[in-house]
Amino acid sequence: MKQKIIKIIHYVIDIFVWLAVAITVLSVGVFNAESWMIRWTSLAALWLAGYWTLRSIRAQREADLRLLQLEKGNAEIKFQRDRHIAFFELTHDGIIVLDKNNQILRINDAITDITGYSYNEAVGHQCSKVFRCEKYKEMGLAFGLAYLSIANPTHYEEITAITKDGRPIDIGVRCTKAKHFSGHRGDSLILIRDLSKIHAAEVMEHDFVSMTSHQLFTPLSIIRGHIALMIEGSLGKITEKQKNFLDQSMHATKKMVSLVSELLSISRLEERKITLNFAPTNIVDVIDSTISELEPLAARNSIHLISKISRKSIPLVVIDGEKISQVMQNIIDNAIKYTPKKGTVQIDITVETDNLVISVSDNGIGIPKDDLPKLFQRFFRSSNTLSLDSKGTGLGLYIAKVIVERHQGKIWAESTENKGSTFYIALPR
Amino acid sequence: MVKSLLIIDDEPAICDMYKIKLEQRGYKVFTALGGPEGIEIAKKEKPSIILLDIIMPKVNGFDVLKTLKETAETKAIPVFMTTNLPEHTSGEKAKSLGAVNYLVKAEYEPAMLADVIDRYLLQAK
Repeated sequence: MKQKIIKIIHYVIDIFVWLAVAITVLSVGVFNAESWMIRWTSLAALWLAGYWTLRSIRAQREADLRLLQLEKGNAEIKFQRDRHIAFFELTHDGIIVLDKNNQILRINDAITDITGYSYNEAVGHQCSKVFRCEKYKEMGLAFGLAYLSIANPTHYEEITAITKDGRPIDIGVRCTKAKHFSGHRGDSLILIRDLSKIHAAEVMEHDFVSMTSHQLFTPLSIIRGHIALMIEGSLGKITEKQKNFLDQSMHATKKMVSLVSELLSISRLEERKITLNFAPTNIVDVIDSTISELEPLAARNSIHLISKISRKSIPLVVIDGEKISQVMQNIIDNAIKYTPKKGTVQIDITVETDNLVISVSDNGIGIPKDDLPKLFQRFFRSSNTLSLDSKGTGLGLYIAKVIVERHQGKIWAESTENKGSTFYIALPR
Repeated sequence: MVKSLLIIDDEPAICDMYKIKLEQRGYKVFTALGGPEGIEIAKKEKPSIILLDIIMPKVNGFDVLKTLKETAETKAIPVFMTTNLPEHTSGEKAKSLGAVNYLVKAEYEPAMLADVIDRYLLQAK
């Protein structure tokens, strides 16, 4: 503010000076002069004074603008520098800056956390002295990584390094050139991720999920195996009545196995322990593959399975193909099961502005109106399906809903009892 | 020549039920209730396939698999992990250690397991 006032004062002084000169010249040289030479010289002097004043004002303004831009530029540079420093210091991943001789120029706090070496203990020393690992014992970590990075700039590997106190630690490492970071050619960065906690978490998950499923599945596998052997006659001949009872026992056992599998899936999906592998995918390939797998089932039930999808107009969508295939399998499988023989199941895709909408329509038994709002709830089974499929657990549609919602999509159904149903899956484009 | 199989599982009921079906299919079946015993039998009998459980007391299936793959007499024997751990928890690790298949026992009745073994050995010819 003070500077602005000073500038305004300068402008005013320039203009005042010009006015004073102008008045003097006009009164002495132009209005009162007897000679035409003196008049014209006075006018020329007046013009020159005016020109000089205007130039001075313009030059001053340009200088002010340049100064302003310079100040802005400096502020931006400072902001970016502060941001990089914050990133460098605050990131949980370790960063080592090395010069062309693999001497450590700089480390961040995360390196101290990972290796145990303080800033002063590391900087100025060779990387190999500070960062020891069996794999690169001879050539040193930095040299080894730099060498591999020449062929593959995105080279990444997981190794076991030794900390300052001799403890082994699992790390992920990557090497990259640091010219733009440090400004010097030949400098490089080693990026280090501490994998020890990730591996520990994996072991913990393994323990919980593994023991839960192991404890549930072990007796089930024995029961199922024994019943199967008896039904097959491997343990001796059985009566028809015994076979009927054993068939029912097998049916119940298989249902238990499905239930446990689905409960474990739901638990992992809901807790987001399943990482979805999103990738641009041709949804038509996913659907075609699902249809191929279900064609034998459709043939056994004498159901026409029709795909009305035109490949050309369908854009790619970013999805986890395997999980969406699981959803399609569930929906189409249901459509086949709940459609009488010689019925039709039709799959189609509509391209909307924001979504791809997949529809699966059948002319089957339909869903009672009162059941529609509860269709995607856990363990819900529509009243008219129980007699047709007593194996179902009531979790398939719930799992489908969780998967579709993890894709930021939507799943719903429309139906008329005894006429048929259409299930819709909308996936964002 | 009669092909032999080795089942390494700490659950006797599992060993018995698979042995019944596999012997019906014409295989000679050895069983072991623990890893160390199983490794010794594998070295001596050199079975065509080893069916290996994972969760076992004292020595788990992964350590047994590592030992089998590091031992000259057994490293070429194909190993099927037969376990009740879901594949997502241990499948990748099993395959990275050299297992050629991963089967969840609760999903495989004895006849289904025998079918998988028959197909594998037929393709391996």
